[in-house]
Amino acid sequence: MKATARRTSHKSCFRPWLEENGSRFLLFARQQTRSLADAEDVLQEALVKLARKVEEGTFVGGEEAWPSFLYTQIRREAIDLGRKDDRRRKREETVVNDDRSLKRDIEMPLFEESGNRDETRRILIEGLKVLPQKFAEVINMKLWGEQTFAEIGEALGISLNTAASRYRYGIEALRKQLVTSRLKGDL
Amino acid sequence: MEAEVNVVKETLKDLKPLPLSGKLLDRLAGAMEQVGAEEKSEEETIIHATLNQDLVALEERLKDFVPHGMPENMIGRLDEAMSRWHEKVPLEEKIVPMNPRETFAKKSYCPEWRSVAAVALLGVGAAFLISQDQVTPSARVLVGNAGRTTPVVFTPGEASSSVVSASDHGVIWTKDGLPVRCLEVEVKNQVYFTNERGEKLILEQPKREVMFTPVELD
Repeated sequence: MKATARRTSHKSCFRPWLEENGSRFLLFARQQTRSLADAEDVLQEALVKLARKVEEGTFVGGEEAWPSFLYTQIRREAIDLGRKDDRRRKREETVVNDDRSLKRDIEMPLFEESGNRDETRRILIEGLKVLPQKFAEVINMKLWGEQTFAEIGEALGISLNTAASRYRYGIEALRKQLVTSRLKGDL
Repeated sequence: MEAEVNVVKETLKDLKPLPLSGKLLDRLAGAMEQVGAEEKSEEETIIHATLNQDLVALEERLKDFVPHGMPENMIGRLDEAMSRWHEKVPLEEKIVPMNPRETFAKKSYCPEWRSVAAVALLGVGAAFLISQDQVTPSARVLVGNAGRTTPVVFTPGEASSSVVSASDHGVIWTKDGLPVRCLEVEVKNQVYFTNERGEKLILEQPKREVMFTPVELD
C-alpha cells in the first residue's frame, strides 16, 4: 500500500513538460480517436515511446523536437487502434456504444470555456468536430500545436504545399459554416 | 557617310534614361524585401497569398481557442507511464516468429558440419564396438562377422534431415500461468554409408521434438 502511494506521488522529470504541453496533444489525440478513453491510451503509448527514446539516448534532437515526434506517433497509434477496433467490431458484429466513454467525452469539452459564450465560437467548435479529418488535423497542428507546414507535412507524410492547402480549405470550410449559420439566422 | 554615323552615335550617347518614379521605386524595393521574407517563411507566404481578409480574421479567432487542460489524474497517469517506460516491451521485441513453416525449415536445414560430425562420431563409435583392435583414424564403420578376419569398411557419404510430421497443439498454459504455444515436430535423420564394393548402408535416427514458444495475448 505504501509502495503504491509512493509510486502515485512520484513525479518524473517529464511532468512539468506534460503539464505545459499535454493538453494540445490530448486535443490532437481526441481528434484522431473515437473516445476520450481511446485518446488517452493513444497519447500514453506515444509518450512512453518518447520517454524510452529520450531515456535511452536514441532520440534525435532536443526537447523542441518532441512535438513532431509525438504528433507522428499519436497518429500511428490511432491508426493501429482503429484497425484493432474494426477487427473487434467485425468479430462481435454488433456496435455497442461505450456509454462511459461517451459520458466522459461530454463532461470534458475540447476547449477551455471563454468568458463570453458567443454563438460564433460554438459553431466553430462544432464545425471543427465535423470537419474532414485531413483538414482538421492540419488546423489542429498549425494553430494549437504551433507546427510549421513543413513539420506538419513530415508528420502526416504529405508535402508542405498539401499541408498548406488543407489548412486553407479547412479554414474556408469553417467560414462557409459560419456564413450558412448567418443565413439560417443562428447568428 | 561616316560623319553622319558619328553624329547619330553621339546623339544617342547623350540620351539619358528616364528616372524611376517614386511609386515604382517603392514597389520594387518592397518586392526585394519580400524575397528575404519568403526565404524565411515560405509557408506563411503561401497562406497569406491565398487567405483573404475574412479567413485571416477567422484564423485569428481560432487561435484564441485554448485546448482544454488535462485533468490532474490524467497527467498523473501519463507521467507515471512515462517514468515506467522500461517496463513496457516495445512491439518489435515482443514479436515471436510463429510461422511453423519457418521454424521447421530452420530445423531441417542442419548445417553440414553438424551432419559430418555426427556421422564421424557414429562411425567411430560403431568401429569401437565391433572391434576394439581395429580403430580406424577416419570415420568409418566396420562391419564384421564373427570368425571371419576380413571386415567390411563402410565410408559415410551423404547425410540428410527431413521433417516427417509437424503439429501445432495450440496455446497452452504453464503452471506459472504463462501462455505458450506447443509445437511438435518429428524429424528423420539419415546417414548413407557405402563400402568398396558399392554396397549401401543407411542409418536412420528418428527424433521427436516438442517446442514451447511464449506468446503474447491481448
